[in-house]
Amino acid sequence: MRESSDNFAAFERTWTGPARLPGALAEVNNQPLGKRFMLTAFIFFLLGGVLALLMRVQLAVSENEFLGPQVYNQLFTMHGSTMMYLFAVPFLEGLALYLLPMMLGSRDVAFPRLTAFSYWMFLFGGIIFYASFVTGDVPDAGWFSYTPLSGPEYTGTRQDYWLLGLAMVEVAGIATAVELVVTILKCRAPGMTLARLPLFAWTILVIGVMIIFAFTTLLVATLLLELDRAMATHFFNPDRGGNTLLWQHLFWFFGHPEVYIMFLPATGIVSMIVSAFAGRLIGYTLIVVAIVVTGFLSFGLWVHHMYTTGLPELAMHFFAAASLMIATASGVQVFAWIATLWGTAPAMKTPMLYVVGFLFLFVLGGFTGVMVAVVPFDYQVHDTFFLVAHFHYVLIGGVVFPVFAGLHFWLPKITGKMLNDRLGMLSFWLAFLGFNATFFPMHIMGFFGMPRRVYTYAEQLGIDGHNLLASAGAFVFACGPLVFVVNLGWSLWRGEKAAADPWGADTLEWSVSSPPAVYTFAAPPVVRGRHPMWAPAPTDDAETNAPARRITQAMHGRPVTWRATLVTDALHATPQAIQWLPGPTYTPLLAALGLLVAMVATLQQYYLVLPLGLAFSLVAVGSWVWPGEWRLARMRDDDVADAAGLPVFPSGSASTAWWGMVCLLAVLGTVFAVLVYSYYYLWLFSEQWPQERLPRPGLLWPAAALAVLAVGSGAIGWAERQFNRHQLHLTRAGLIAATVAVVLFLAWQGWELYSVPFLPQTNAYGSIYFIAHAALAITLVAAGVLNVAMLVRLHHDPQHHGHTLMQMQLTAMFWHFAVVAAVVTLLVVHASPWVL
Amino acid sequence: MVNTRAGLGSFLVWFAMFGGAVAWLVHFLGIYLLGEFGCHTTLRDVTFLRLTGVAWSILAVTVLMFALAVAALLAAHHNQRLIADQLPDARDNLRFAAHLGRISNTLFAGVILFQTLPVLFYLGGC
Repeated sequence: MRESSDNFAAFERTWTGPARLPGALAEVNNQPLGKRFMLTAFIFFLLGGVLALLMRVQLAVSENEFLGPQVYNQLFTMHGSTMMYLFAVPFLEGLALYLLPMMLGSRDVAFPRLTAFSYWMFLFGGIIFYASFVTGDVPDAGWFSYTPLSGPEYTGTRQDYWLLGLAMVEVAGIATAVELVVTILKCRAPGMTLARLPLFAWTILVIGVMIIFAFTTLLVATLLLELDRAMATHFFNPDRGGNTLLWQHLFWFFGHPEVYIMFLPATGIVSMIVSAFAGRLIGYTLIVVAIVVTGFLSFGLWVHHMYTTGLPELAMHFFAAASLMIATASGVQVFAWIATLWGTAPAMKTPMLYVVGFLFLFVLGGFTGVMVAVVPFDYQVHDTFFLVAHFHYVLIGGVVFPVFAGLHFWLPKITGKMLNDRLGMLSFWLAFLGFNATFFPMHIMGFFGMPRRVYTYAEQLGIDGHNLLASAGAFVFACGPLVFVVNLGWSLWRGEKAAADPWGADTLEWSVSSPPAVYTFAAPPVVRGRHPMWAPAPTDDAETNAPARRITQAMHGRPVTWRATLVTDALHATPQAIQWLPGPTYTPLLAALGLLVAMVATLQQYYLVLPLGLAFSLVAVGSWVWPGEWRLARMRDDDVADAAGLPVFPSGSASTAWWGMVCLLAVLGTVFAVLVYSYYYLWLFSEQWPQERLPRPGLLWPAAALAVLAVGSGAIGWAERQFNRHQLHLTRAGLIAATVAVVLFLAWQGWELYSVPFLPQTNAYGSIYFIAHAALAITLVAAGVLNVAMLVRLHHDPQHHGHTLMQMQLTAMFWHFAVVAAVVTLLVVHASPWVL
Repeated sequence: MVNTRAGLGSFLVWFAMFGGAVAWLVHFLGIYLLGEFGCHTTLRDVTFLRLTGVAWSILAVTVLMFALAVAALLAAHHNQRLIADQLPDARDNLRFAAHLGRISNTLFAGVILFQTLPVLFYLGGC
């Protein structure tokens, strides 16, 4: 008994991270990091709100000179950017990071160090954005940064703050998305099948996949624009063959899914609250269908932001059709919530009140969304305040209200203290009434012709009264979040202690104490139904429960000396392995710091420092991913694996690393797809291709180089087979052959780029030619590095172990992707000019 | 815990759930690219039976992707029939997957057709 209690104390110590500085900077656990994400995002939300109030002061009366055009442009740029990039998505990702392991029955997320890295990248990106206020060089080209307005001719260095800050935030967003997707697929409690997945988790799974494709597209677009600005390339410069509409396509391919990336988790929050307060949930499958359909259709809407740019009418109609149809999916969710509430008597506590407010506001915003999906109507209201009204109804009504509902719902779990319900209701009514007073008149202002993004308006428009009401309403609206902040302070100081399940809700997070232990579950829970808190697992089915009981007993308070969680099959949540999890480490912070140095060096045009920052970051990442011998030995020696009957070194799709690699390859695949699209888009509007009578690229050498690479690919495949046969010498030979093939290919690329009679700065053709080759070269260098890492691993550990097998599989996966990328890139860049 | 018997592979379950959605995405991106690129190239000038090359290409992509969505729908039906043979714990999950697949694949197959309607108004141009 004494030994057992000592062991449990040791288990708790293993999971307890450093509470004070500087050790707290090394924290990787999802709970503190989720809270940091939410707190940081909320501070940005308040900052963005202050910017909005300043704008409303400017617009309170006609022909006002309170701010002037330049400052107004800067404020609406930073307001939009803050709310879209620094508040909504990071806040929702933070909430998901905190809640999901608890909801799914896991001890932590799949890749804790990636969580920490994401947080630092997000924080540093936000700091770069706001550093522009300190230097007085505030971005002013809008949250969409349309070219050529955001080009080097018009914006000096101020748009660099926007681009570089955004790049860091995008990397954070993508990394968190990978984290969340793999966590949902692989870190669920035994028995939590897809049919039993909480709806909030479904929404996060769908938006995680969306982020991987949408954010990556924007990341490439921002990189291309920064290259135009810093390296004088011409992707978006029409004078040299570039195309400004290319930016709009890439931006909105991100920008419209972004709306649903914010909206879907908000609907997940609403579903959780509605079912908790109604005591039931109607239409689970239909809601899941609606979430999936919304996620997919959201990628078919981007052109509805570009109706007035002169696209072919045929193409526009495809987007109009998709824009109309997405309303159906949203409608299904609304009707499911109404059906769930119908006939019940939910207690109108603050979370429920915010949900009702959401339903009212979102339906209104949805209706105007259907209106602007219609091309002729959109022509009339484009760039007017009607659109400002529409998207604020959707984004504040559809996202901010559910976020506040979620805060009132889950803060008792997070802090362990209840919020004051009266203060909560006061904050709701202030926000609800203030919001409507602010934004409803904007529909009418838009019909009267008040243009958006313009710092003032003429008195003759006759909308002074509407604007004054909107400005007054904005200040009332701002009081809502302020009262919430007061309420939070009061709750932490004097709040009533929260029970484990204060709302009588149904999902697993309510089964643990409020606040939960840092490891969340001492033993993996077993799920037997969609509502585990309403229908606890039956204990009489001995045959079915036996394997689960064995795992639960084996993992209760174990492993003791290293952090671990259970991983399960993606479809049926059948236990597959015990997954090692890292403890506190500074490497994610150092990796993010290296990238911060690189970004600041670019900002300040200290280009010699840039590679130093990148190299520092890469070394930190290398140290992060390389498994220490002490750790491997500790895992091998622990008898938890035997006790549970599960491996601690999983391979293939049983491993979280395998899924992480799939996500990484999806990101890289998107990078190449965006570059291919950009290549053909530039070609489409060019009179000649290659532009300015440049010679067409050669075919013979690229074909030879590809042949060499194909041999390398074969060598890797052969090496993997030899590894599986425990033929380690032959494995090494295959890896060395593949490495030589990469080196030869890179040598050819270097020679090719050196010998072509143009530069990236020559024209848009030169720019896309060089960037496509550069992207390929970086991918192949990474493949080569993975080969060398595998060789080093075999040198240090010349045996066939589970973790070595996984490393071999990941190396092969990346290698095969790199070869496919090489074939596609060379076909596009070298072969297509001969046939276009 | 959940176990499945042979005859209902993991790929088939995933395909039956999301095959229609993937078909829609490929169809949408395909017809956008054909609309955008085809309308600026010689594809719009090529005609056969009074339909432009753009219209023919879009119709071809539509037929292919509609067939894929229908195949996913049939896979969902197929899975539904096999559920009875599965071990008890897998049934709920597979029933949900089949139900999800039937609704979403039907929806996406319909959307693919609806999405192609504009082509009927632009048979001879863009």
